[in-house]
Amino acid sequence: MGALQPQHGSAPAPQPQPGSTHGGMRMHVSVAVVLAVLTIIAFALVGSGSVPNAVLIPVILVLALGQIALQVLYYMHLKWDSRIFAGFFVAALALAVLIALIVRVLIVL
Amino acid sequence: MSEAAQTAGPDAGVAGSQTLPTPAETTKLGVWLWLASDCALFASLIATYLALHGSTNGGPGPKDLFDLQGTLISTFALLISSVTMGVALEALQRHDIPGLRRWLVVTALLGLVFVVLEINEFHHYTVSGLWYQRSVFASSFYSLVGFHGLHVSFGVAWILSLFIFTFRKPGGLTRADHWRFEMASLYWYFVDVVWVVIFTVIYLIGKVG
Repeated sequence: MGALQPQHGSAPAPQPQPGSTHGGMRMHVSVAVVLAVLTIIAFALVGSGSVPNAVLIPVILVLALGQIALQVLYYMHLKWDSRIFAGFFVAALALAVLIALIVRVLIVL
Repeated sequence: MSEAAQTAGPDAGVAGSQTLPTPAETTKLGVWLWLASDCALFASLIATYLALHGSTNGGPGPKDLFDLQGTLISTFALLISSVTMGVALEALQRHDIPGLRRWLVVTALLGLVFVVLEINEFHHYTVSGLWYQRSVFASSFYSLVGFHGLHVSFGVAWILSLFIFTFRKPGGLTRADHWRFEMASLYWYFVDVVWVVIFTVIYLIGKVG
């Protein structure tokens, strides 16, 4: 068993095969359909022009977060992979937000 | 016995269940580190854009320029390419090498469609008076979206190199070779995730904000 064990609770888990795609074709297509629906909703909301910005912007940000979560968990395998990779992703996101804030503050100043 | 257990050395037993990571795991860790650093780069560019997008210097701004229909088509090209990349990996799992090659080419073509649409978009904006040095908004927009376009182009080149690689292994692909494809797919999905942020923050919010 490698040092970067996948997440499967406390039960002993088999080492994933190289190139393993986990959920298979059905998972890929199901996630893609949900992503497509979320994308269309976001574009339709903006295109309609009937939703006030105070509501629209938080809604499309939530839709984007949903899309990112789906892609990262299912396509990038964080749902099944070692927690170390999930830790990297969370650390990268935190770093990204921190850098974004610093750059923004520096430019405004 | 796993590769890690075989390479762990005599000290492996002393540390109990502690073993060294396999070369494939180390590579994956490296790719994740690389993606994390890329994440930071994109964060800097997005923050710069958000801070400066109002400085149009009398030129066209996001509301005047952005065409949501074109962005939607680009988005779907990348989205479908994520599925086709997954189908390619499925074919690899089944040792269906012709299927793997076919879906790698489809994925690369969809990536190329995205790049061509982006070049066309940039051309349209330039003709409309938004060249790189026109305003701070223009510079930050082209830098961010162009940087992402370069990532997609690199991904296309990587996928095509894997396509060629499948022909250069006369004995067929081994289990160890599979990781090459998984690393490429990880990168491709990351590029797609970054595009979700870009089309939401830059195009959608830019159109209404």
